[in-house]
Amino acid sequence: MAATTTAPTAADSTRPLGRLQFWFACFFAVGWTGVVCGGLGVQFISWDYPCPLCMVQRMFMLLAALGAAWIVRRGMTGTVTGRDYMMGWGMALVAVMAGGFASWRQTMLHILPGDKGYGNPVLGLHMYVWAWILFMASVVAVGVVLTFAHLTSDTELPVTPLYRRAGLAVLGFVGLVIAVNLVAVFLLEGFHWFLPDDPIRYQFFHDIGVT
Amino acid sequence: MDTLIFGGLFAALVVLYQGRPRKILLAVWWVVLCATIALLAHHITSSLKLGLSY
Repeated sequence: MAATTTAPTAADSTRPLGRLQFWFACFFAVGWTGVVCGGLGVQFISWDYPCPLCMVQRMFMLLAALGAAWIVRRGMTGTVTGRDYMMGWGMALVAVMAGGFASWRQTMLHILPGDKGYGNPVLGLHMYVWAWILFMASVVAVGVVLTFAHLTSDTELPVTPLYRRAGLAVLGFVGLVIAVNLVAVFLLEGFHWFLPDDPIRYQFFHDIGVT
Repeated sequence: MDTLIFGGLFAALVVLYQGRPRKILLAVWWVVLCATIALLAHHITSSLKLGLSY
């Protein structure tokens, strides 16, 4: 384990796939944030009100994205130790497992014959079924990445404008989507502790008498 | 509570971006995770039916 936190050797820096984990972390963070954007799209374009379990799944998706974002942030400094990789992927793994449970639960609520499910299907499947598939795929992806970590991780990355701009873009995207969700859920929930099981309006506007 | 959790997520991202010590990020991240799990538990209002007896 100590070897993973020491300075890189010359051999480390010549591995052809040595920077792959940094770019995969960028893809992972952007990917999960993009999935949350899909939920926002259904919310505002199809004008569906997200249910409480939908919002919980978005939270787990963004918690997973933050795990990868930690690797991206460390990569922007030029040094990503083995501990950084393990911490980031550990956070992501815990979050996607928890999210997988939440989406499984919501799927099971609508598993009986005759149940049409919550909301409209997207590409033939309901959002929470897609979420379950993606959560499980992420578990496998993180496992594969960790299995080949000795080939795909470098402790030192080039401190170039490309890496810094890519990292800033990823963190900015994650931050923007969290902020949009923060405002959207506040308007949906208003000054109440919990969302109703089946939201029918933006409660904040109702409470202040706008609607 | 949902609003507070998204606020916590944003706070975690700010801590991450500012390059604060990892223990601060981990503390914020675990608090948000536990809050999300508690919220999920609140919304599970019926049996999980793990006995498969429908």
